[in-house]
Amino acid sequence: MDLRLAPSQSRILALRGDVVATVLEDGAVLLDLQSKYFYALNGSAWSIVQCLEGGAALHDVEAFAQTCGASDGDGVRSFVSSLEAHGLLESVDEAGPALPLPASRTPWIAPTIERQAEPLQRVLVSAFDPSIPLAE
Amino acid sequence: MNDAFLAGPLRVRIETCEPSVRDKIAETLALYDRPWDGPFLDIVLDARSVDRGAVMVDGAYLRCARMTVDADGGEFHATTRCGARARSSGAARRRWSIEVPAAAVASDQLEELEDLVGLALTTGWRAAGWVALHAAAVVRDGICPIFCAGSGGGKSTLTAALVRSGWRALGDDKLLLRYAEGGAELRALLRTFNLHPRTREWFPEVGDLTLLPAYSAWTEKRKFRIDRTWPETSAPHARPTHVVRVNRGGNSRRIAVGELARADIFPTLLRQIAIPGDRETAATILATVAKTVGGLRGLDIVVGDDAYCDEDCLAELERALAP
Repeated sequence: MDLRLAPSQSRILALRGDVVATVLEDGAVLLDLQSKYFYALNGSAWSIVQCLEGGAALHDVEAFAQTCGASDGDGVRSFVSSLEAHGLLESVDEAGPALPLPASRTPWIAPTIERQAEPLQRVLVSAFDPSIPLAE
Repeated sequence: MNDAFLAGPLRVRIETCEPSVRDKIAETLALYDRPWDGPFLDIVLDARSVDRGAVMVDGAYLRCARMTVDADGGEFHATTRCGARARSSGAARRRWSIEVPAAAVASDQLEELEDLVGLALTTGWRAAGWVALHAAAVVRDGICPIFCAGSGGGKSTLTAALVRSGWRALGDDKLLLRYAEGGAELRALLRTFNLHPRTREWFPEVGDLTLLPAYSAWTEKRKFRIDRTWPETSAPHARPTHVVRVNRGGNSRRIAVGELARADIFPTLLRQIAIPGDRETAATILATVAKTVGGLRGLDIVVGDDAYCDEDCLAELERALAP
C-alpha cells in the first residue's frame, strides 16, 4: 500500500494499531511495538497526531495548525511525511466519528519527531530482565 | 502436594505431584522474601509432567532467550526450548497449567521453569497494578535514586557500596514500580543481592561468594543475603527522586558524575522494563514511566573498573544526589 501523501487532502491517516502513545511532559512518546523503536514528539507534533487519531484529514490538521499560529500550516506536511517514513501511520478506509480537535496550542513551534538511536531489545533475558541475553 | 508462597503482592500456590518440579518452582518463588502487607492477588501454578514436549509458539507477546509467549484475549501461552509449556486461564484468580516433558523431569533439566514462573509473576504483578523494573534502588533521608544498567552493568556492586556507606537498599535488580495519586512508588521484592565473586576484593566482609548458590545460568553471580552481613540495611519502599544511568568505564578509580539530559531520563528508565508486544500492556507501562519521570532528576555516572578500591569513590555521587 502506498502511504505517501496523496494529492487528495481528504485521505485519513492514523497511527498503526501496534504503535502506542503516551503523553510525556509537553509532548509525547510513540513506541512501535513491531520495530521496538520509540520516538519523542514535541508538543506541536503530538497535537498533530491527536488530530489524526481523532479522524481529521490533512487539510483539517493544517487548518488547526493555522489557528494555533502556524503560517499556512507550517511543518504539518513534512511532519506527517516523517511519520509515514518511519512506518508509523496507516491509511484508514472508513473514518470513524470525528473527535474534537485538541486544545489550541500557542505559540506554535515547528513539529519535531526524534527517533531513539537504539530500539528496545527484541529478545530479552526473561519476562523481568530486558537485557540482551548472553550465551549460557 | 501443594503449598503457597508470597511474592510481593501475589500469593502463589503450587499444585503438583512431581517433587523435583515443585522444588524448582519453590526455589524460584522463595527468592521473593521481602514481606508485603495484603491484600494479595492469588495465582495457582498447576504443574505436571507430560510425555511429549510442546512446539515453541511464535512469541508475539514476548520473546526471551529460553521462552516465547503468545497472548490472546488476556490468556497466555508460553513455551520453552526444552518443550515445557504454560497456559493461563482466569483473571481474578489466575491459574497457570504448566506441562513439563517427562524427559526434562527425569534428567532434572528444569531451569526453564524459572522463565515460566517469572512470566506468571510479572503478569500477576501487572494485574495487581505494579510494573516490574529491572533496576536497583537505595534510599536515605528521602533521596531515592534508581540505578539503571543492563545485566552485568554494575548495579549490584554500586548498591552494595552505597549500603556500606549508610544507604538502605530496595534491591539490586528486581523492583516493582507504580504511579498512584500520591506519586511514584518503588517496592522491594527480595533481600538478596546478586554479587560477583570479585566483590570480595573491595568488600571483604562478603566472604567467599563462590560458596553460595549461583544466581542463574547466565552469570557467575551468587545470591547474597544482605542483612546477614549488613543488618537493617534493606528498605521496603520509597518514592524515587533520581534516575541514574550507570556506565562502566575504563581503568579508573573514580565514579565520574554528570547530569543526564532531561530527554534521556524517560528512555533510560523504560529500557529497564520488559515490554510485551501487547498494546494495552505496553500503554500501561509507558504511562507509568512517563508519569514517574515527571518529577525526577537525572544523573549519568561512569564507574571505573577499580573505583571501589578507593574508599572515597562515592563522594562525588553522594554530593550530586544531595538535595
